[in-house]
Amino acid sequence: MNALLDGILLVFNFQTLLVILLAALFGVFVGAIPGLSATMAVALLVPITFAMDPTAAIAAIITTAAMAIFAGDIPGTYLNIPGTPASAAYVADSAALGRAGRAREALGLNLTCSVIGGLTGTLVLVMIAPSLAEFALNFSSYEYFWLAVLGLGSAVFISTGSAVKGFLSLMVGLLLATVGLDMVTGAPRFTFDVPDLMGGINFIPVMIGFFAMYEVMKLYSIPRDKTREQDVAQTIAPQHGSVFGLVPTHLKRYWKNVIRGSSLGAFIGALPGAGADIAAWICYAVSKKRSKTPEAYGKGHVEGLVDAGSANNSAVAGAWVPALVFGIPGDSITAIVIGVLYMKGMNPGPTIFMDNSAMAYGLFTAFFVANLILLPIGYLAIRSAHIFAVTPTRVLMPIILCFCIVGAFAINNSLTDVWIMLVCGIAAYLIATADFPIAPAILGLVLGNILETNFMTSMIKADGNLLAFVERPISIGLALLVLLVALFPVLAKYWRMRYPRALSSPKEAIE
Amino acid sequence: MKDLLFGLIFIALGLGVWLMAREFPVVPGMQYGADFFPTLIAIGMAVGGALLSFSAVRQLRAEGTDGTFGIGLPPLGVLLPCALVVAYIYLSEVIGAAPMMLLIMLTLLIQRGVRLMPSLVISLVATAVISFSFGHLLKVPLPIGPLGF
Repeated sequence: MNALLDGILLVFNFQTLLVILLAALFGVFVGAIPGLSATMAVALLVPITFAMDPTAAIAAIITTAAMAIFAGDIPGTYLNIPGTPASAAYVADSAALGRAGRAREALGLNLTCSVIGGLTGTLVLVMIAPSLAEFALNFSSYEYFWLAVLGLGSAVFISTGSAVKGFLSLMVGLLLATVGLDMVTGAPRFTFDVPDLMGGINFIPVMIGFFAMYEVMKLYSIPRDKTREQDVAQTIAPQHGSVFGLVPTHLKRYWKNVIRGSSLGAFIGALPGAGADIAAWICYAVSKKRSKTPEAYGKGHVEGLVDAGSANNSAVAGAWVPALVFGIPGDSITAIVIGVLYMKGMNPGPTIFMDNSAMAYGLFTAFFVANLILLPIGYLAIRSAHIFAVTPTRVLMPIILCFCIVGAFAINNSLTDVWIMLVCGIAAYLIATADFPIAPAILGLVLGNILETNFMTSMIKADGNLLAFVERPISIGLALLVLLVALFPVLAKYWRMRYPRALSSPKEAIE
Repeated sequence: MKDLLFGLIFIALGLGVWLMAREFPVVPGMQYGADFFPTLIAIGMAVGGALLSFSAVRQLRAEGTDGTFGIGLPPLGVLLPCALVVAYIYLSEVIGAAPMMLLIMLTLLIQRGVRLMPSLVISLVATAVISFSFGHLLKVPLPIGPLGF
């Protein structure tokens, strides 16, 4: 009990609270700028946290990550450019709502779901962290492989339109993921003798190219005299309504989605290698598949927003479970965090709750405070987001292009990343004009390395015996799950044929 | 029609990837080498491309060609931002990142029909904000030109 009180006191002092406030503002700034991800925000923050005491440093990272994940929804809603990869799963829905003049409503709902999700994730972290982490510890490369397959399978489901096109888009992402030195043999693959490509393609320039650069190109592909007429339609539709006005109605209707998204998000986040973005993708896919109105998804439906919006924030907290208890990063943010923990003398591992219990409780308290401060700061961010609304895209896009260039450059201070950003922008423009979905390519790039490394590791362990993938109880469970996901369209078709009335109620579809 | 073209592109891409993957070194005694995943991706691309072109051809047969093929060249305007990014890559180290960004924004704004004075003000302010926030606050070593910024 004493340790708990000590931990709370570590957070509730003027200095730490000030750090949390500043970190929240920083998180909004970075998260709301397309191309700057929550991971980048945390990475940029690390040098600043060197000078702080441990609790303040950790609190700053937690707040920045939580804030940036939510703030990523702001440009997603207003401009159809997800501010962070975690917002990419439902950007089609939030952008459609923004175009319909319901951006505030969508963001208010998103903010509320983010807070609920974040608090649920924290509860998971506090309450069942040890047992859940113990379960994840049983995972070996076989299970990770299936997990990656599951993620990729959902990528093809989320894509609206043709499944073949979604699959091809996924292949492009997987191909990009193979660039660099092969992990097992050390052979360079598709590097074309460019030294900067040896380490593989950095994810962030690709993201900037696929989502931001592509948007700039799209604007300039419209003939100039046409944009003048279109400027009225192209600019963000006038926003009306209050931020939280309709939130209770939506929550009352979709409270089950909030619970499902939050708990599933925390669980996915707790799995090593799967972070907020994958949690959002999977929860969106689950929501779409489980919904009564899957056809409304991607066209401005709030249901998927509720699921994925709660999931990505709860995953941020959930990702700390294996990071804290076993020192295994739950996502890229916690990979950085583990380094910071070691530097601060808070060595992650099962003993952290015995040796450093006050600090561990302080960390939990910081999580609660960070998620609660999300509400006022997020509200201010939504209210001031009308800057986006009054600025016509023709003025915004040149500035965004410069942000793209500098943002891509900033990750490694390398012009190669600017080239990658450019090439990916052009590729995205070309395939998007032929109605290919872009999202599966992103997921392929994220999961490609996880998939291949774990496949190779497993095969070395099992001496090339493919049956090893289904010999362990957990891996066969995951394999069956993959099979279920793969068979889902067939099952759904059969279900619809048998029960045509269960198809949808048109009232909800309109909404 | 576009689908047929992209289907063919993907088949070609798959073939290319497959040919390149065959060059990757093989480790003796290992069933799955560096070429395994690229080969799978190549097969996936070729099969997906074939499916796409097949359905496109079938659709064309059903609807009949309208003679135009429907593949207009992309509008020229779309090349402008790309060209400016290339210009930045080559020129930022000569004339500096800030003047280059100013130039990019001015060109793009004026091309879209924003009047000169507002364009100048917007570009100047945005350049100052980006240079300051990245160059000073985030400590990104943006190239400095002969003018000192």
